[in-house]
Amino acid sequence: MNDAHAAGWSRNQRRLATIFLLLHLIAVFIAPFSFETVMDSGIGSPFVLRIAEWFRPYTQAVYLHHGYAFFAPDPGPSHLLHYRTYVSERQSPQVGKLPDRNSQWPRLLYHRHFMLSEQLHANFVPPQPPSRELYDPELFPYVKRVWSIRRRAYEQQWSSYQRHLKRKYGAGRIEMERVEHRLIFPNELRAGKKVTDSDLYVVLPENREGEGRP
Amino acid sequence: MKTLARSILELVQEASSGWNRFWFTPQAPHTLSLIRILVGLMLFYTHLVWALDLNSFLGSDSWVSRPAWDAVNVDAYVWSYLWLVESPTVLWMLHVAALGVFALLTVGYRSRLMAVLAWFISVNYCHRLTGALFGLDQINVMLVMYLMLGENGAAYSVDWLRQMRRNESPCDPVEPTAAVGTNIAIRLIQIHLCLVYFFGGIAKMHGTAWWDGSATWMAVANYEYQSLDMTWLAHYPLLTAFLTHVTMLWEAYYCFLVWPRVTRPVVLFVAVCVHIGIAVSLGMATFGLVMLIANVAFISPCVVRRLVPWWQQVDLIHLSTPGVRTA
Repeated sequence: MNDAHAAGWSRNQRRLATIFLLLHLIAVFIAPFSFETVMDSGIGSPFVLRIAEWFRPYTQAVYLHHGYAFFAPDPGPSHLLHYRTYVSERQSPQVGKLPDRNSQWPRLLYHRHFMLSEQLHANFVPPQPPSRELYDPELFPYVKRVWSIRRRAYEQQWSSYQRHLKRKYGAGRIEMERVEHRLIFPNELRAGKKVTDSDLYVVLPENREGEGRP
Repeated sequence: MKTLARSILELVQEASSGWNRFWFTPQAPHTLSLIRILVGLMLFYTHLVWALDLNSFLGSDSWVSRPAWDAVNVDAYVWSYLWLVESPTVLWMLHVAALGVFALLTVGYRSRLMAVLAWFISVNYCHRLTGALFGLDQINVMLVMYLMLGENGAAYSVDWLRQMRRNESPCDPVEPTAAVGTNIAIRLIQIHLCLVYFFGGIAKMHGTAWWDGSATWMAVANYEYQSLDMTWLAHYPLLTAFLTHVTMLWEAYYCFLVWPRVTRPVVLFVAVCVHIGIAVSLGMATFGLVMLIANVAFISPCVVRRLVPWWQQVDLIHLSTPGVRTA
């Protein structure tokens, strides 16, 4: 290579750097690509997922394994966590929520708590395992494994939040519920409804009717 | 046949030459150094906020316990030194040390070493803080990782001032030197940012609200995100739909339109509008700012040098060794 622009580095240095650059670029491309190919069931493109799997030790270790799906595929409702802490059964409970813009300040701290409640909701899968009849027999073991991992993650996270609140408030018992804050429609707002009206907050069931799916 | 072979050979040579020009042309450090300052400040602030409730996020009674962390990160290649810490005192000492590293990175003291340490610390915090993270942390880590590769302290830094002090001829200011590593760092930020936007746009294309024009409304109507009440947009559906389509198309096509000189200013202007909009109305000032910091990579060092010329005003006489005078 006789390119005058590249005079700073020797040919071997450039070749070595090129190899590392190409590997790194494949890694940073394949990570979000793999997220895009995965469907709700956890099944995705075998080609992309295979390549992503080769690079996963690197992309995860250096915290580059992301999908970058900000406000996507659609901006949705918020998911909150409401809790009641009982120091003793004779006293009335103290109530709290995640996130809470009155107690969590500055905004970034509020947003950290918001992400905790959103993450808990994102990990939710019903306690019932997926139905065998709904899936290809070959894929079913994989689907069931995905459900099992996600259910365990959800249960552990739920217990962890309870434990944290118990220690924080010195409470003997904690009640928690996931709450969805439904988005208001433009016509509702034009008709006088407010974004904080109580009927927009819906308590989500921990058991879903019918068979569970990942 | 010979003509075809020659054409292919020329094509390969041109591609090779283009590759080398793109990656291995030395670049002046002003852009990367400005990014260093901004990323250092962002990392400092991000970690300062953890300190406001350190025990709840990183202590032994944190929101996410070790068993929960293990269950969420099953089969993942993640680890954090913060799991080794049980004593609150040690945790605080490590946290203060981390803040110190980010402060030193910002001012540019032993910049390369501080970038490596800042990257290591940031990654470890992100691995530990599963569940409380969002786009801000992803972009923070991306930027500090690439800072490690270039001469990020070659301008606007204590390192540069120290170099000036060592300079034998203090009246003749040392121009920060262009380096290949600096160019590689900037190129990687540019390409990575393009991928962030590209996949952000692709992900939006999976939805329906970005096509029917309602996505902007859905974002501003979300009370938990809201930091500025923009629900008056309900009375302007055409404007809402327009903003929705511009956002999605800009994001998906950013990676193509940011490279030509003609379209770059337009694309960067839209970036400023979108991210300031997110920062002001959707309560994510830090995320909006860190995305703008990443966009700085597309501003040439010459422009940065003209915009941020304070280093030229440094009083070199006072920086020089005692006893040295100038005419």
